[in-house]
Amino acid sequence: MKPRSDHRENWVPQKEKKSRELVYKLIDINKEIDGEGKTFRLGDKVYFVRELG
Amino acid sequence: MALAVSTLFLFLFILPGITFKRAYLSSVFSRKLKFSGLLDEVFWALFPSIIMHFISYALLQAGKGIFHFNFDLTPVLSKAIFEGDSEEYGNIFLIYLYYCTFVIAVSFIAGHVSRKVIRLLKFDRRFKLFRFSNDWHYLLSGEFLDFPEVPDHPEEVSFKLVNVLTNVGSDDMIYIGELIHFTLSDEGGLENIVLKDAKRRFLKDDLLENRYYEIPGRYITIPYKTIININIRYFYLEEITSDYDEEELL
Repeated sequence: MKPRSDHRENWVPQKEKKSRELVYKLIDINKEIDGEGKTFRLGDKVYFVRELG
Repeated sequence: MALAVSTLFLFLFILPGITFKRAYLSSVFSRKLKFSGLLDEVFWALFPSIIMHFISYALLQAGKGIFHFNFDLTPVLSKAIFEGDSEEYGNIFLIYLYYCTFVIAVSFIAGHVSRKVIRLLKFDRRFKLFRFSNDWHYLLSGEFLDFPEVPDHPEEVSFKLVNVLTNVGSDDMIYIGELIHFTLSDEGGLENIVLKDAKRRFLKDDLLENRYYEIPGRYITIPYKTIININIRYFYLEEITSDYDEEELL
């Protein structure tokens, strides 16, 4: 009853592809993000981010 | 002799319960089987066994009409439990063995099907009774957000930010990045995690202004054996370029 290897591998679902710049921006501002949510600009785009849980 | 045979019959009787439990808990996020006390173990072997015998007996009764074979468990059990000599035991044992093999096969399938149904209906997230033992799966997949005691829903998660404190040689290093992959171990724990677009810094640089530095390459694998602790944050992220207020921007 040894599990197949694909049971052990878990890809985290990605709703959308995020650019490296977007991830770095989120890392930089992560301490300011809370359950209320924050809005930030990156290039010509504006994002809303909210902490869950 | 009679005692030995009765014990063997009893063991074969409870074996479907053990098979069901093993099959039900065979996936990697529930693989670690803990001994939970003799009474508990006996109960969780006997209780599913009785159900499996009922289901299998009903299947055999239904199959009799379709496949035209004869099967009656009553004389087998009465001879095994109440009476019989060595020759009679020999005659009924083969029939009983066939029957038990069928029940064990049904239990094995039922165990796997039950797990899939529980996962499909999300009962393991809603009720503690059905929850599997490997917490890492719930935590890293975000299914943890479906627990009744936690607000929000995993469907909303669009970004998982992970802070990992690791020990490298004599230094403690913090990695921060987007969680994109993890591997669970056969022992029911975690084997490694993969971060995308991660940055890192030494723990001792905690008070420095620009303490994080970028890592060349997009993906970094961190083995669990080097991890001291993990901080996971779930974020909902949405692009709102068309309807934003400039004053609210960070």
